[in-house]
Amino acid sequence: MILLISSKYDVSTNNVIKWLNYYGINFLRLNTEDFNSLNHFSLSNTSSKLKVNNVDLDSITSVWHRRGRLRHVPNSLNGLGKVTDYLKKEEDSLVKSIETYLKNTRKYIGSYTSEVENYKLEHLMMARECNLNIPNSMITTNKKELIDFYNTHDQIISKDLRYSINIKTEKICINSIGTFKVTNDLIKGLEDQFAPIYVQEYIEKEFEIRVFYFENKMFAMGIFSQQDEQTQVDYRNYNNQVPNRCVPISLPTDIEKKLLEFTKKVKLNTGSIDLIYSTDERYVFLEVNPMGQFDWVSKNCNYYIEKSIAKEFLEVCN
Amino acid sequence: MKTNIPFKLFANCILVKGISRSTICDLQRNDVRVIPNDLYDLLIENEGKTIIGIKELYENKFDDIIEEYFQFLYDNEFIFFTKQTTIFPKLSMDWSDSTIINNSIIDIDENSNYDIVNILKQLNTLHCRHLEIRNFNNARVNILEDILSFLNESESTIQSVEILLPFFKDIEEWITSIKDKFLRVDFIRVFKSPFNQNRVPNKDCKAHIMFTKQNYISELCCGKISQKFFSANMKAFTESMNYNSCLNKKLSIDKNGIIKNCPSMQNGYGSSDSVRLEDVISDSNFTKIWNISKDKISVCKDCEFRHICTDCRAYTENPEDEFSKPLKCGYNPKTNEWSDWSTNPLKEKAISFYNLQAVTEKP
Amino acid sequence: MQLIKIEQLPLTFHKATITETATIKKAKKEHFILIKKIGSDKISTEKFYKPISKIFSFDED
Repeated sequence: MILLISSKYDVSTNNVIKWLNYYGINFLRLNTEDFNSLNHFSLSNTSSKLKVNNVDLDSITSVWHRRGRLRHVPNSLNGLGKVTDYLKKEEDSLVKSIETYLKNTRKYIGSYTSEVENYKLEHLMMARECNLNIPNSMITTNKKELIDFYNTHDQIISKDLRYSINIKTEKICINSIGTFKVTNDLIKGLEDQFAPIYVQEYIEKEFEIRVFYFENKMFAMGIFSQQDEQTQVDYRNYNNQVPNRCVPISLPTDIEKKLLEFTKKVKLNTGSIDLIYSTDERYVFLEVNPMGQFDWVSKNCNYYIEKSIAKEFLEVCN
Repeated sequence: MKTNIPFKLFANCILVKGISRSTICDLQRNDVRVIPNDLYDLLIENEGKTIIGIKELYENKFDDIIEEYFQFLYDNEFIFFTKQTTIFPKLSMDWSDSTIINNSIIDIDENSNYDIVNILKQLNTLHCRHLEIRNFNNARVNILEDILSFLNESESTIQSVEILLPFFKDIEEWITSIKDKFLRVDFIRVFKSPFNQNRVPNKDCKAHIMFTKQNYISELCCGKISQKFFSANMKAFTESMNYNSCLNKKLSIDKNGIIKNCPSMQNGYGSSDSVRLEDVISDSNFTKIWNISKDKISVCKDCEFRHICTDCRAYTENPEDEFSKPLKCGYNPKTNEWSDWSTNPLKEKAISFYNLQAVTEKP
Repeated sequence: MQLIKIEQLPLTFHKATITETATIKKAKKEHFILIKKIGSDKISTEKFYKPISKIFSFDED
């Protein structure tokens, strides 16, 4: 049996499950929105045992950790302010330890630990170690330094260091718009010192590349966003009327090798890598998202990624 | 346009050659454009070359035409310019599907009395995704509601349901009463209505609803070939490249409860009350028709629309020939003209063979 | 929000979109169906990619 940890809303999970059903593979799907009753996670000198929602996880042969993490704090304990914060931290430590236990004893694809430790700067350093090109990048709290960086590059962009902003209060919601160009006016509006700002040189691109990978399999898609004002900086600023052209790409072998080396180095056995193919003909690494969406890569390129994921698990089951 | 950099077609814009002209099927933006066969040949032979180079190949005698061609391709974003010509592979034409049966038609009329729930249970084990219920003659809303309730309660794999039914006095109230209760319903087509109307899905009702004055008396009305039924998307196109675009992974029950590929087919595989669907599917006679792709069908194989079009194996021009052209197609790929199939004298024999005279009469 | 000194926040805050929570809740009214075999009660319906039968189209009217 396979354990799937995912969100109720995740379409990719649904599509993989359809293939699991087709191949007759048993699975247990636990959704991150629900409270999951922990019967026990018990350790002794001779054994480790885990039982969730009355299911003995000894029978699990492999895990696909698609999204988020399990919730073991009852809903009634939410909204207790600092007490809830404390309980969540305790839960976080539990969830990570369970992940480590399962990882050490069976095939485990995806990771909550890596998702929360999605440190873009570390990834940039690792990519550079694998001889991938990276954009000139800087993090600063100082206006003068920011102006210097701005002046030494034609154009610069800014983005979040780890997660995109997503703050919800009772009155308002604040949402990140993704990557954007930094203008003189934006810089003018800043004080001399501020919270860390992450800026990068803007790289003129011929096209963007999104690579979804699962273990050693890579599925690359080219995204042509350059002609379209709305998506020039970041294709995630979707244009719904006329979608950007998305086509399959077969990456040059040396780039694929470097990327594979990178995935080993950052210990992410699945994820989505963003690259740019620049107008000066370089492949430039931008970032990796440990739990990126692949449904649109699969559909646009006719890759049947869901089917190959299900097949991976079929091999483990047999 | 960059005339000195090699051009490539976007992989999801696919060229299909017909006998007199070709099409570019844009499978990402669901669009089809007709192009001359000259342009088709030019693209096939020269993809990966520069426009300047192509003009030279034609000894600069056709610069104007070549320019016009590429301007059209560029304006519609069918092509792009890049030196990296080798990293862009063709789109894979694979088609596969995680179901055993992916769509099903269930016909009922005033006399139907077979066990539908029994069929729905079996369709669920076959992972069936899409269902069309066609209610001829008098509306039997109780049966329709029973079917929809069962799908809800059994949390069936059937995720979309289309309903064809005749107009009746309180139909508006009926639609209102079911639209939020049965969210699987995504299309309701009402015939013999006093008016024609097309209501696209909206906030209030997520089902598409159509009314027509036409009267559809039975399954004899099916099998039409029309541009209105074209689908230019990746799934439909690749399926058509490999399999029959109507019957692949389809299983139907006719109004008498007989299991068939489609209710209009002559061949039946026994009563659904006594034969298991699973056993029918393991019969190669039932499934072999799934493999009749458009490239194997006469006339269709020369048609520029073949992979975005539907097919019909129930009514064909020559009932003796399993690869014959659909009878209800009025398109001629040689002349590129559409005409009324029902008045074509060459089709008279087949029309009377299938007893289609009544359905060809206009109201 | 007046309590926070926006001039000292990262630029991502300056460019973020701000919406009233009330309006978001309203727009989020979605419909889902249940499919036992998939194990989620948040499944959106998906239209078939082609017509199932070919009886009714408006071209003849």
